[in-house]
Amino acid sequence: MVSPQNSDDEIAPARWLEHLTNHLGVARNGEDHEGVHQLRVAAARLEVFLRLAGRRCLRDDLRWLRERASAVRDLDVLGASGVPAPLAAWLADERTVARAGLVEALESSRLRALLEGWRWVPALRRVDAVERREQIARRTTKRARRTFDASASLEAFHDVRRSLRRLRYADEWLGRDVGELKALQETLGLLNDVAVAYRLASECPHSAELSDYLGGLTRELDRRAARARIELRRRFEREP
Amino acid sequence: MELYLIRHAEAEERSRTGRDEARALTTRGRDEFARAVRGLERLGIEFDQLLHSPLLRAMETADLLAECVVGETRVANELARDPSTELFALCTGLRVALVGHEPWMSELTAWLVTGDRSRSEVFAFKKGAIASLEGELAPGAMRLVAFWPPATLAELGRK
Repeated sequence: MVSPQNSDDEIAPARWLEHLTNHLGVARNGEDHEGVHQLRVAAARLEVFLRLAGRRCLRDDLRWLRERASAVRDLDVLGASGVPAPLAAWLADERTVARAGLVEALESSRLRALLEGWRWVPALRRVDAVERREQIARRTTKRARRTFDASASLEAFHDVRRSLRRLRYADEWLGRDVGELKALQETLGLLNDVAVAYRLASECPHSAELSDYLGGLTRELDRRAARARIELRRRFEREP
Repeated sequence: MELYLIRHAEAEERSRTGRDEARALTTRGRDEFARAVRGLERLGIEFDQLLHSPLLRAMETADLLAECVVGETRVANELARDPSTELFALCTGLRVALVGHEPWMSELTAWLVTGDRSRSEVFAFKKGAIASLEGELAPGAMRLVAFWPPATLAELGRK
């Protein structure tokens, strides 16, 4: 069973496991959008815990849960951002479908098994976590450098955003300062919000009526990508 | 479909907490099963889907099989209880691995191969043993292709 406390040598998953279980009910009833977000961030942190432990099991299950939550969260964020009326109506319909998928996941035997599995995941050895954190850091640097070129794709920014998230959470598990990583992650998050908005608006059956909106998003994507590139370069250019 | 039934590798007698569910693999069990996995790789065996029980010894055995998994890994409480058709419904791949425990692995093999789960003693699994079945995933509809004790695959996987 998981150790309730961290020690000098070991790190227990209890805090974020508790955070996850505490938000299942809120995410399920759907009255507070924050519940879905908290479910998603707890699942992401636990996924990084498993990476740091060198464990493969339960990661796909956490990803499955996070994807269900993300589908709702993306629609919540865009829906609250003042979008054109035809898009808003479509987003509301899509949200109903995404919510049904999330509720199905939250009531599923897979979630029960996931929580059961977590009961037996042992604490993480700090020495292993430090070593694997360095692997994540090297991968993040490599991915960050791919965005230095002005022709870097949105996919390249997406990859580095995911790596940065893992690196930040790895440092959180290790009790390190994450201020700089968090700021970078926020910059990339702002870029991703626009990328998600563009994707959803393009998928909307009324996209022909959204040309001005899509044009504005394209300009905003360029602006935010340029900003992210400057910050990534500043942080990673001198990394070994 | 191809179905691979796998019993967890050798686990410690008692966990740190005393809970049976928290028993981890021993170093010997881990090393031997890692060699067995290399044996599977030499046979060119891959899984589209791997399902495992939520007990720690099964999760740690499944972790060692990661190199053979080209699709999704999924935890399933159905592998920590009597075999049922609910378990069949979770198997969506064409090459599926199931990592679980005795006596349920033996019962499941007997049920799938003979249609009679009470004949499980014929198919007793050693720790780390792997049975390979082919056919339709239904009671009595599968054919036993191979039944490898852990030492055989470990020998095959030796460098």
